[in-house]
Amino acid sequence: MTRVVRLVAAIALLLGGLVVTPALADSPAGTLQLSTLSNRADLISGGDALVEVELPAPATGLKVQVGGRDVTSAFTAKDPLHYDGLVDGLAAGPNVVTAQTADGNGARLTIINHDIDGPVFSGPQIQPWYCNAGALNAQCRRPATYTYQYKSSSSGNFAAYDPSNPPTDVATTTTDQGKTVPYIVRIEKGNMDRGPYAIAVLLEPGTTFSRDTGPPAWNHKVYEWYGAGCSMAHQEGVAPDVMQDLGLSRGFAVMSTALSDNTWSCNIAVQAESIMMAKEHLIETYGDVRYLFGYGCSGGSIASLQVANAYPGLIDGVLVYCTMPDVPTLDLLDCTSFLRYFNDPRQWKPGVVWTEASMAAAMGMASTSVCHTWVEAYHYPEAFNPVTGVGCGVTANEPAKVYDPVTNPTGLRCSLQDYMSNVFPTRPESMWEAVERSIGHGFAGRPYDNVGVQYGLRALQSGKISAAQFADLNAKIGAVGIDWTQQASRVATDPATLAAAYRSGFVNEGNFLDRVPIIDTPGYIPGDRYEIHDNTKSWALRARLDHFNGNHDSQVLWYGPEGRFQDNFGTMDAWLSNIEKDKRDVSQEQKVREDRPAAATDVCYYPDGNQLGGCDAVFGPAGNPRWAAGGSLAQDVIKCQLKPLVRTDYGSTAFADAEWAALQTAFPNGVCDWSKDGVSQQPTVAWQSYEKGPGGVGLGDPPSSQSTDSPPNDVPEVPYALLLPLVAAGVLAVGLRRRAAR
Amino acid sequence: MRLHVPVRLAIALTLLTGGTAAAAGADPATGLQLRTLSNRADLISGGDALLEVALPAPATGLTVLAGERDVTAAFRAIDATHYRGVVDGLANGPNVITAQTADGQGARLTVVNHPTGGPVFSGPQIQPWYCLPGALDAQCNRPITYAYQYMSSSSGSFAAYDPSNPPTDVATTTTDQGKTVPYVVRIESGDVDRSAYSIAVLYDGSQPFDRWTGPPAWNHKVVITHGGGCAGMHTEGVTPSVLDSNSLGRGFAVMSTALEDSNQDCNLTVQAESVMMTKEHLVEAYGDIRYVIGIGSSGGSLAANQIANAYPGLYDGLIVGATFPDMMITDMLDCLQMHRYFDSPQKWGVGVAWGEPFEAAAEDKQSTSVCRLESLPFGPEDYANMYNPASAAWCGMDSHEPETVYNPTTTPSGVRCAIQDYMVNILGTRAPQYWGAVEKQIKRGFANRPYDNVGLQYGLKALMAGTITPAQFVDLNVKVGATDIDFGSQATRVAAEPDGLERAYRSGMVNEANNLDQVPIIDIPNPGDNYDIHDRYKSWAIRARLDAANGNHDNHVLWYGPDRSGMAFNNGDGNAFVLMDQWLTTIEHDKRAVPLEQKVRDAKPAGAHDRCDLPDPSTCYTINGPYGSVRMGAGDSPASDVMKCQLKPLVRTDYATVQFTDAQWTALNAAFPYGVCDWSKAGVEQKQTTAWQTYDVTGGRPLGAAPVSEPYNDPGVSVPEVPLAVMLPLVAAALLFAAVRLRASR
Repeated sequence: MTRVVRLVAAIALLLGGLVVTPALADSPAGTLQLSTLSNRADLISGGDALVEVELPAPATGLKVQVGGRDVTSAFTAKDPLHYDGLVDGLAAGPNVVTAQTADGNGARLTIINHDIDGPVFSGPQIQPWYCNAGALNAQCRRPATYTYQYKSSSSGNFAAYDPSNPPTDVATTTTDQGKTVPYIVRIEKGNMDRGPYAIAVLLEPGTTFSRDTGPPAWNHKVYEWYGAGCSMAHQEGVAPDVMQDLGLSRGFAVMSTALSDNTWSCNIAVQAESIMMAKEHLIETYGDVRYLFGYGCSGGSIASLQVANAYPGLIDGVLVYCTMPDVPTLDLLDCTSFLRYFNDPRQWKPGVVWTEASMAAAMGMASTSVCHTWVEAYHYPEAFNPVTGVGCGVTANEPAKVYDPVTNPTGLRCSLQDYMSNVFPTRPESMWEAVERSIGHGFAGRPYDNVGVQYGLRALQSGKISAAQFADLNAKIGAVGIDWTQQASRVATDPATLAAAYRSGFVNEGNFLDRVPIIDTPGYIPGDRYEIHDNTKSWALRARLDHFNGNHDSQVLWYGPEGRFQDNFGTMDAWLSNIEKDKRDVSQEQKVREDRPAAATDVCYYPDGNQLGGCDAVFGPAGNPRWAAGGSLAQDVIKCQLKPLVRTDYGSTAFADAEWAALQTAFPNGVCDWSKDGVSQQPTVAWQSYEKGPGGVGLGDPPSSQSTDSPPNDVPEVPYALLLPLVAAGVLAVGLRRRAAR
Repeated sequence: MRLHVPVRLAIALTLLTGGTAAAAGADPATGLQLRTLSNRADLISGGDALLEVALPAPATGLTVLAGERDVTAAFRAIDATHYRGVVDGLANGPNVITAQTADGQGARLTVVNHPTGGPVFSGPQIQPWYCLPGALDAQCNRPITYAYQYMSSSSGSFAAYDPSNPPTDVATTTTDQGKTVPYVVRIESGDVDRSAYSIAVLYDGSQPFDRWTGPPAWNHKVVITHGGGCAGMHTEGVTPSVLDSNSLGRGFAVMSTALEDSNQDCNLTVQAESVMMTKEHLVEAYGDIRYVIGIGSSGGSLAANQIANAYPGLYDGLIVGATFPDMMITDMLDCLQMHRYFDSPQKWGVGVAWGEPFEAAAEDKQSTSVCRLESLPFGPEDYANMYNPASAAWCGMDSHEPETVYNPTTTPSGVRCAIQDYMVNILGTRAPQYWGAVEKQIKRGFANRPYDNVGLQYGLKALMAGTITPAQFVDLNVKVGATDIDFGSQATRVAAEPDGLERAYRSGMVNEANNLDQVPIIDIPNPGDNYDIHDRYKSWAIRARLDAANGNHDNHVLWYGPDRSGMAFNNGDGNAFVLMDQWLTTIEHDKRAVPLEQKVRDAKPAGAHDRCDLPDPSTCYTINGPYGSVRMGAGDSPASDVMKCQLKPLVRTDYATVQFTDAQWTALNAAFPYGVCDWSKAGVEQKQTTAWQTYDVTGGRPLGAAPVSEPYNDPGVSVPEVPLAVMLPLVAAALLFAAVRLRASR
């Protein structure tokens, strides 16, 4: 705001306080509401918040204070009943905001402001943390910077734009609002929550804007871009590239944060927090957001789907491919165990021979290549190896600090559950193993369990593997222990870890995803059933949606080889635009269901699909290890409930006595009863905070304001004689603030 | 006894005058012989060489000159007829060494010395090249440093050892020579050939040693360790670990070089050169070597196998695992191109569908996971990417000057990061008739790429076996196309340039194993793996090539089945290391005048036989065979060494009972306009490896036999009986002649 505008606004408000009409003051006392628009009031960060005052009826003499400081001048009227203002200068911790009109209506709202370096709700920040060069403090703070890029009409690519020496080949673009502008993009980069964010939007150099106007070509929609992978980086990282033509050319702002990029941080709570903080900043700085949707592949699909579910409202729509609804813990560790047995035929009992077809059948996959690529190409199962992790920054920066069971038992563990020790509690003493006993505390709990899992049961039932194969596999597969070693017996996890996995949304049960349109074009390789992005995971999410929401109307699958090349962006935009226009007083999930555009329907995209014996036969879901063990395709039961091992449960399969004895040894407490929910299985709890420790607690509804209605004479009439000194004081105050801001 | 100055001058004169005065009555077989022992005389580097003078009979008055410098003091008698000495201070280029005894018997040998930074025989060094911090010059030369490690008796692992403050928990070890010593190891680190080497050996620093004593606990045997992978870094690197407790504790020296680590340098000639240079240094600085065992897995196996074949004598025995015969694995691009088709179902013809069993059958693999792991479009083991000229990470340019890396539109003259470009010293560049648009634009050819798939009938074996349909076979062969020189796809098959093909074979890039019969090999293919890039056909391919080249594979022991590297190193039964040691000792003791390959065959220990250790050995073949390379699936032999097949006409009756529709047959004719592979014939330009090639000319040439000394016997110039009156004019003439030559050479 220019100084003159501020001055006028200040005077107007001061004067306004003096011209309250008795008629309005006498009007029936409705409830004045005070709310934050840029974020929940209890999760504000960075010292500023967009605050709205909603009046029960038009009124004059609005006065807003923060902890006794008058901030009325920050507010402007949107309409006779709504005043918005960006309140800054908030202190760390609770800030009581009060609003009152001349008629005595008032409300009070406590805003809890958090440091821009975080944390907000994610709990204690993981240590150590490595900043990139040039950070201002150990929290990697750094000032915002602005650069420009433009689309070159000659090369068709983005290039750096130098405002002091403008290029001559700047393309133009026409936004979805019909504005034709030079295709020049401003990129803002800065840091919050110990990691970088980036925001790009169409903006010509020299153009100034406020949040009230917004960048002129911005369509007030946000497109978010996610990176892939799943790492435990312990470092500041780099925000994914925001130069996304698909969004920018249409007028979208494109936003990304390093900490919602799985490449750096595979921690759901930190991912959500960084998105929330960047989005708050975007709203406070650029203007109101109509809706936000993102696009992610692989680790990017994990981030967008799990954050959209566990922190509903942050993300309005999800476009995904190479889809995984969450970190596929069961695939990762089951595949590792399978290959430790299958790759070592010395372990196979004489007479037992495994081939590609029989191994794949036991795994429940179209090919063993899914497990082989997990274990041998991408190495992501090592996310559970405490000595290496995946991309563990401590290994790279301070290897001497890293855990080793022999030489450094108290060292820092790089495994995912330890990186997520804000979410996962430590293991109870009853589960401690030798190293934990020697150091006197438990490691972080790992949400993986295979007690009672009858690997390859469906293959046995369908005759694809023999009784001897089934018995040998289940007798010898054992499990990956907490220290990545092989153990002969199955591995169990504890109830608190299980509960944390479900409540946090680490297991994405999809129970809040009915509020979020999802267009899913599975597979990295179109039509993929053969590597880690096998499309079964999309159907796993569908099964979870059906289980928890009774339908999967929010999820559209465009599968088959050409699904990914359809207009998912435009269809999502239309879907969200329909929802935005839907002013009915019905639930969000009902709007999502009923506002689907015609194109938003399941299709197996393959010409002549029928000649293949049906598109689904070639490109539909193949299965996964827990499905193959008799469970649901949802694969969301980490620890199954057990039932007795009964010899007559296997139909016509006849086990030799030695085989049966081996099975009894493998399953001393029985086998999985898939007719029951998993142990501690439960829906995700929305908006969990880990401030009070692992496991987390749901924040519940956002705080609302409390009415402080009081008689109209609460705001005293000020004689005109006092007005001039007050105006002078106001002008002085504005001037002082300007100076202070320099 | 020292020669008098005039005599030396006389010898100099003799040399200056071209030796016309020499050789009167000298017999090369029985005369005095002068030779280098630390390396071939024409490949010496670093300014020093271990020389031996062998006398035909005991004699007195030995004098050795390097040029005109008397270096006799460096020599000591080994026995009555052998003298050895390390001669240093050699100039770069030819150095004439002369030895003569008092009886007038003499010989001279030209030692060609090369700079420590290389090259020696590998030809022009690849550019640009980035040194790590602290290098003294652009060749990454740096001073030698020493560090100590010890085996801790408390932790059982190595830890840093400070000689000035020795730890109290030093374990002891007893070497295979029966010496019990504190288990302290010295690691020497330095640079040769623009990158790092390391040498580790039992030695606690308490008493100095020289090459004549050697480190006291060294058994005079050497292990060379290798890294995995295959990359073409433009950077000075770090060495594969030499802290191999298995070998060090037995008294072996362990050495490695960054450039024989395939994951830094997959270039055969540079690998061999760095091993040779480091081995020379080891001989000169530590002492004589009894034998060298190369140990390598995956990329380490390909380095050891291809160096041992192309530069015989550098290694005496090999223990390899997760085996590759060489880096020219045709599967890389065959797999990539097949999956570009399989993984894009939108390309499949109407009614054609693929899936795991069909794709695996067409690839002749047990599982598609082999090809997927070789050619996944992203991910850490995206090995096919080594053919991508824009792959800055593969060549280490990403962290230095990525903007200078080749891009067909933005940086057409940039540094190409494909494997063939990294090996341009061997392969040369494409002749103008093969140039594509970018090459025409920049007016020079890219490196020759010895890959060809003209006439290759992908999936032929599966078609004939009925596991894929004629429709699948035709659609695949019509649409598979080829990976072009810029890593894109082209619709037609790709032809290799003849020069590149010929050089790939002659250099040993395609390891035809014709010299490999001179080394015992214990080959332990990867466990459980017909499922990743280490699928076992590669070990059987080496065997087939040994059979083809040498008529037998008696030097090749295959321990297949699931044994992992444990079998290589563990004590007791199945210890490949001990077995190899035993094999090499037997060869060492065999003093018969028979070829080395015969000694290798005859010295084979009883335990050195093929084995497949499974609880049920009858399942070995089921688990391990009969899968092969993609080319074997197209009809190639198990050797799988045909880079470009010869062609025969496409004949409809060649397909037995397989019935093609007319449309399918027309399509096949279009896919194979020149015919299809005739596997009954050798490949185009296929030939055996030429040992010890140098690349001072494009495409390389054989160095031939190592230089030998030229004897002479000239009693007339022996000891000081030449009157000064005769000498003076001679000296004057010599000086004049020298001055004239000096001027002429400017």
